[in-house]
Amino acid sequence: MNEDDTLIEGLKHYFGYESFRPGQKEIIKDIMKGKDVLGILPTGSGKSVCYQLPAILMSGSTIVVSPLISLMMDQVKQLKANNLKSAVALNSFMTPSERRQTLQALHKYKLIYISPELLQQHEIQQRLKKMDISLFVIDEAHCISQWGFEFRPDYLKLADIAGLLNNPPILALSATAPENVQKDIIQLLSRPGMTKHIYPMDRENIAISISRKDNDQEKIAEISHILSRFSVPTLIYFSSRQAAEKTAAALRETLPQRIAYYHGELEQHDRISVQQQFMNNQLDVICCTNAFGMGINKPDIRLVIHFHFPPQLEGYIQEAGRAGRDGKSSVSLILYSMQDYFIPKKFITNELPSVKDLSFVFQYLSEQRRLPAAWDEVGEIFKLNETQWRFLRYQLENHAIIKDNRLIAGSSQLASAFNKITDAIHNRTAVKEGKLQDMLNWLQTEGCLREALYKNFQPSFRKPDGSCCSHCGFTLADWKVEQTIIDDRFSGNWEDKLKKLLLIGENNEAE
Amino acid sequence: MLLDYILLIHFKQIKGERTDAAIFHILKGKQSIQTVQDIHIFNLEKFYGAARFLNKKQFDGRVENLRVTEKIKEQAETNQFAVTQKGIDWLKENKSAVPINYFNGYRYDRTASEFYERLLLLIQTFTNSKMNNFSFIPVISNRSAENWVKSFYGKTIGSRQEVLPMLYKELAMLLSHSSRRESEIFVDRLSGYNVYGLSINQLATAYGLENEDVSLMLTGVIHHILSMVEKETNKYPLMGHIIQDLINTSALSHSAAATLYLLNKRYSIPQIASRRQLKDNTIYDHIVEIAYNNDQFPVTNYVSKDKQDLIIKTIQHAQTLKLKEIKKSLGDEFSYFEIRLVLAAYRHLLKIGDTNE
Ligand SMILES: [Zn+2]
Repeated sequence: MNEDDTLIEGLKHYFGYESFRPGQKEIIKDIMKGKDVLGILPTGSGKSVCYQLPAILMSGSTIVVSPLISLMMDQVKQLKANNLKSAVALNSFMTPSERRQTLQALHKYKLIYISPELLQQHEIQQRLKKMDISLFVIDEAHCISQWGFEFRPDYLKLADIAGLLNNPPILALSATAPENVQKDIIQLLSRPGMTKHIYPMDRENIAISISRKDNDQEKIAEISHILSRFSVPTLIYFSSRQAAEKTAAALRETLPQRIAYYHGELEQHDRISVQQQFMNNQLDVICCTNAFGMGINKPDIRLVIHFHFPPQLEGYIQEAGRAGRDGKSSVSLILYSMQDYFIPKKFITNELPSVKDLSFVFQYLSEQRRLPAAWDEVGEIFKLNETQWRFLRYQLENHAIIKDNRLIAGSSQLASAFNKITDAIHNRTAVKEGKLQDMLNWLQTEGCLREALYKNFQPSFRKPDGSCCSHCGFTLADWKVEQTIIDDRFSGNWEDKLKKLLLIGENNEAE
Repeated sequence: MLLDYILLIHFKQIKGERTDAAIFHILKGKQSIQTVQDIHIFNLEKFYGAARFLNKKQFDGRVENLRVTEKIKEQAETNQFAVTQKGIDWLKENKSAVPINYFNGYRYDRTASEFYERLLLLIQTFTNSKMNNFSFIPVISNRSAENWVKSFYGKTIGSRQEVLPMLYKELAMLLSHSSRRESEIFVDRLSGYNVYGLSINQLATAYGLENEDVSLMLTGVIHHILSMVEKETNKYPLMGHIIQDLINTSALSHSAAATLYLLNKRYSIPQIASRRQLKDNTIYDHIVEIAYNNDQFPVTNYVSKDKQDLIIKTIQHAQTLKLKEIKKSLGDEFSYFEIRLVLAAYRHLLKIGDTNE
């Protein structure tokens, strides 16, 4: 068998797909040759297969650095459902005994998902050092770059970790990384010879529509109107969980569709239930925050509505890109009102510490000569959230002010570090404000929305006929789409439902 | 309403002897000797850990709501909330509508969630395997429940087709002891082959309830099931098998159980503390916890008979269960440990809350 055949065999056997999506095979072949690869593939193009298949086929273990615990857990669940049992997500929620067991058996896993924060732990580093690591994957690699929309300081330490692991080949993946971010990734990973595989992110089958409303009531009325005409799998994105909950309740009053909400504060059982009901067509509409969607692979989402717009275009492209993964005609609709402009501003200030916070931390440090280690105390003393704290701690370590939470610098170093960190806060704020401005500019574009959207990321795009965007003549009224039939398979009293659930009287297919 | 009802019962039992934070700790199942002591003194054992899902903000909101609707009122003497006549009337009016007697938190808190997760996974695993579908997403990620179901699945080779009918028979029988609505909710939350159960909020919407009440109701039904299975294991062999290794463990925390083991081997308190690398005070707390779980606890080994009598008299005379006040009246020769231990050992005698709820 030649190499191509082996790969396609593996794809069929382990994932059940008949053929590769654009980019997958090219990236996999380069990885198997031991090259360092930077892969930019649009949302919904099957990024994870690019490392999951090599991980299975190569000897040794593959490490996947991923920013979100929930995302890792979803991936591992999905792999296990596909009968790939040798995957594990190392995470901070493990009990000490679970953790011990997992670490002891770590070399038996082909795929090890881990967060950049956990990778900093000495115990884990020591364990990984002794193992045969065949590939080091950095998912959502744009987090490395301060020009990326989700800057995570701990991502900057990954080059050192790769060194510690005897420099295995690196695969850096992202769905959205414009030129300057790509440059940052390659430079910060210190792999100048990285092979680039860049694929366009524009999606021909998604029509873009923007509609301005005066307030939330008008938005809800518009959504009711649209959903009463189109019964299709729908995601509605909100900037807060309260808004998602409230709107879900309001929509349920007027619509026959089955509607639920989803956000990061649901208990895990509920999160999986809602997610899987949607996959399983037991649910038609999900009102959610950006916690929903990563790792969800529903091919036939037809409509993605933004009740609130995200604070950057990259986030929008990712979320809208969850529509129409099967290639069929789908729509992204953004409803915005003038009030919405204030929401992303608040996000920006919530993600970074203020200079006032900074001087308080410095004052505390010079008096106590150490920082509290427990997260509870940090929140209590400094009134910072996790994102703000992560940023600050990274800066303090990076400027050699603290080590293991202890002050190691003298007063002159402290003063100069204070100025540098202040600059870093201002820079990062400016980057974020610039991204927000790009978003706002785009919302007010008068020409083709598609053209204005993608010009920020790539030299050209494909222009579909007819259903391009609301500025090129597309209206929802003309949208031709297959409607879902809302079935009611789960009615009856509890005795009947229980009987049906437990398959009483059902033929036994396994025998 | 169920949550309001349970909160009001707490205020009624505690009679302003504790802050509302103590109630929060009871509902969250806090593992501290103070909370364990409170549930025994105020006869609130059944609600221990009954609302682990609750956060402080929700709790405060509910308490505020009880205050605004005048079901509770701040007492002038203690600055703590106590139930009002209006609240008492409301409790009476709604008594028949809420399944309060299902709860048995002190006995089942530790076992209920593990049992429930095993049951959920068991149903998902056996229905899917019956339909030859081995790629489903489990609704629960709990390693120990997974391991249990795995091993059970392995053991049932040869009799696998009997499991689902047995499960149906037993669950139908057990649920027939709950109200229709409670059973509907319980069944609608289950996931099987090609079906995923409803979320808490979906259930709340479907049945016109609040999210918190759905969670509480499910907890209540699970405790109810556990107690029926425990009482009549021969009637529910499969369920009995699921809980077999869970239920025998007593209500003692692991740490207190370890201390008990060493006490029985006649180690002294300082010896135990140094062996376990714990503080003496922690061992004292364990001893109090052990006393709550043993009606024949040898108090005299730790507090002389004379001292015991004095403590009891003081409490009865002062009509308070506030440790600080008791300690103040008794003076310096008495330690908090001695007072706590006597309170534990004579809890039936010293109760001041009503016992007829
Ligand atoms: Zn256009």
